[in-house]
Amino acid sequence: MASRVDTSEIERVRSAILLSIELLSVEALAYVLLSPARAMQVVGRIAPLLLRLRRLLIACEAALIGYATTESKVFGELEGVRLPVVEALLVGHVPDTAWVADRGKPTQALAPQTIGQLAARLRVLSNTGQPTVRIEAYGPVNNRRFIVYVPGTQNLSPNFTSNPLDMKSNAQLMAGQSSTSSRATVMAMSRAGIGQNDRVMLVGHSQGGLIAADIAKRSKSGDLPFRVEQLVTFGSPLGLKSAESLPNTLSIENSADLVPKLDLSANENAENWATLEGNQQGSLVSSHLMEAYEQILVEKRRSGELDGQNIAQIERFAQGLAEVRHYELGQR
Amino acid sequence: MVMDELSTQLGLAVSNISACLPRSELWSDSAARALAAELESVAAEVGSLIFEIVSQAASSSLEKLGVG
Repeated sequence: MASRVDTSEIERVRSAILLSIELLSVEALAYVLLSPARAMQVVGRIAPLLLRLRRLLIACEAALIGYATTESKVFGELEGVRLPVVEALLVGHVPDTAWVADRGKPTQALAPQTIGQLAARLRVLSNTGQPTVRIEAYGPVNNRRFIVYVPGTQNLSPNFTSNPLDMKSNAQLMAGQSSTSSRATVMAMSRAGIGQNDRVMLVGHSQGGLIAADIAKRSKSGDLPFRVEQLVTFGSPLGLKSAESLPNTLSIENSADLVPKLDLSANENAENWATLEGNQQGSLVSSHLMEAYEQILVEKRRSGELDGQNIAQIERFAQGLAEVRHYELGQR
Repeated sequence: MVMDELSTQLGLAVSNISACLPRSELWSDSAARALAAELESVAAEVGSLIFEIVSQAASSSLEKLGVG
């Protein structure tokens, strides 16, 4: 039986399984490349394998939960970390040199056709628990479009680690400053070859949405060489931002989720900024997860609330096959 | 030839599933062993699917050439 278990090894296995699930999700590719009948056969063979991998993923998560604290304890500790984090921010002695590294080899994916698919990709990325952004590149050199996915906070520790998606970055972004996590994301975008004429859509969950808004704002003001045309955020506290500083923006919020309310301000209602609010009850943790936001989108789709022009613009942003790259964000 | 892309993607999946195996020096309890067995079984099934896809593509090409 058990002798020695390293939780970081379980985390590594979990992340690798997540990536395997993504790689094995070839349904769209099969329907493009094969006859419908043959594609159905292939998809029918792969579906149970994906299910088995998902079960293993859940098993890893259960193992991690067994070794980690309960969610109430995690949130209890958050109260305690707030002060040191803000203190560190004010004193400014925490090292924050951002870095970025390629993660894995480029893969391919078809463009998301619905906002639900966009959310699903962000959920997969967020659930890796790794400080990784995903960048999809579409189109020929003279007409390129990029979709950049940014996950949320993954490091609740008040202590400095190499993961910049931490509480310090949260505090900085909430205060309207740029953060190490934001600077690292900008580096990833540059590394992906995004130029000033390329059209960009930024998609972020939680802190990822704050990072996306920060990059969008700095691009609009000319501080960054990007052409951000669209911003989609899930569960991000953007209420202190002005619509003027943002591109076309859709903010999706769960009324049961406390995180988008942390700014104590409602989002501006403007021509270029719409907020879509749903209600998915759950615990403090589960109501903030991308799974809850995906469910909100399913319900909004059913009720016809996703039929507007702003949604169509997001769903038509990219077409065809993308080259997909992942970048690890870090700080030292 | 279009099948190549699909079998390459599945090959990448198999390779990545192999990378999921727990490192015994870090995680070696019964859960890790069960996990490894299940991962190997999934990888074998994907491998078998790749073989079928490639075989079918080859046999279809031979048919078109009037061979066999």
